[in-house]
Amino acid sequence: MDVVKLTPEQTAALYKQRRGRNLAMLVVLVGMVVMFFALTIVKLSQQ
Amino acid sequence: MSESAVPVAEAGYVTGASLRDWLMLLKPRVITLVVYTGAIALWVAPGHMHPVVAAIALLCIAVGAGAAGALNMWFDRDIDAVMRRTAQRPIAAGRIAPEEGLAYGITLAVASVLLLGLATNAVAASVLAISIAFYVGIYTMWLKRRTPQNIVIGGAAGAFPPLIGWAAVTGGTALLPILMFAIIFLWTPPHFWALSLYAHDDYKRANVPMLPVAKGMRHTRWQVLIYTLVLVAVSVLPWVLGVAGPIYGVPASLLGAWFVIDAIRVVRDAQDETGRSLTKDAPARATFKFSLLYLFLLFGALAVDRLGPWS
Repeated sequence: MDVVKLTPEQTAALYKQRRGRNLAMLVVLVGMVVMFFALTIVKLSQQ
Repeated sequence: MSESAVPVAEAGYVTGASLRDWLMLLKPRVITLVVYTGAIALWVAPGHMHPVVAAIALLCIAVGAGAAGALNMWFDRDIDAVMRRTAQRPIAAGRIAPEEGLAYGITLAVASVLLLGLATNAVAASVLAISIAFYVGIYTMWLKRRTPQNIVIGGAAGAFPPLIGWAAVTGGTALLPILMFAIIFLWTPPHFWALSLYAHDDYKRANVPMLPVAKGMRHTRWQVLIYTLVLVAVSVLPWVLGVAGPIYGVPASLLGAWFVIDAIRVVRDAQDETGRSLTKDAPARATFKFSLLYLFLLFGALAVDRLGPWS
């Protein structure tokens, strides 16, 4: 696999952005859990 | 911190692929309009929808529209890169890899359709799927680069949300959502052609046959006026046909008159023999801005009208 060498500053920026994306993914996943739970409750209550 | 080695594909992130880029890939400005018109349809449709289900339906409409936007940016990355207005889009600027943009768009499109089907019904989910396929397949891939009428037919893609919202509540369709569809469909050409009058150099550079490039600016000015007249006629039909009351009808007439006056100013703008503006396209810029306000107020009036005794 082709690789590129990163400077310490670029490495720090890369880690920061990875962390940001991971946090965003966490928010999305938790949001989906909450949404599906709420939808299930609503659907059950309407039956 | 020491030096590290990462795959070339990931190195692009270092230069700027941020969370904001992933959000920009969804064309948030377009989503605003789509969610707004979809929400109005949810509101005016007869019947009751639980607020949680309504919120999920709107989320699905937003994500579906965003997915279509991402797929549009994936396919159009070559022409986006040469147009000033779009050169900074995440894929065109190289901050997001094309295949990642494609996967992102497909995933969100499939997820939004499936979730809408689960939360509401198969009709609403089918219309959402058709709208995404229409925008990506018919407009982006087929028409945009082939015909100056691209905006006319492609505008239908942005007109689907009222049909989706109505179907989510009722499981079907009716005269009012069809008229709402027609209004957005007819609103799109004068809205975009007003923009293209002062952004035509961009389209020319990208070899996109937008009307001012293909048929000239004088022709485009007249088309803005003609479509505005048809739009205004259709916009009062909900009142004339009795599916909306005067709270909608009166503002629709006044806003329509204003839009027509703006379109006449576009035709009468001081211009050279080719139709190029000598006023830095002031009337076209004003018409573009007003067209956004027009749609916002028109649909807002429809929502308020729903509260009237005739509803």
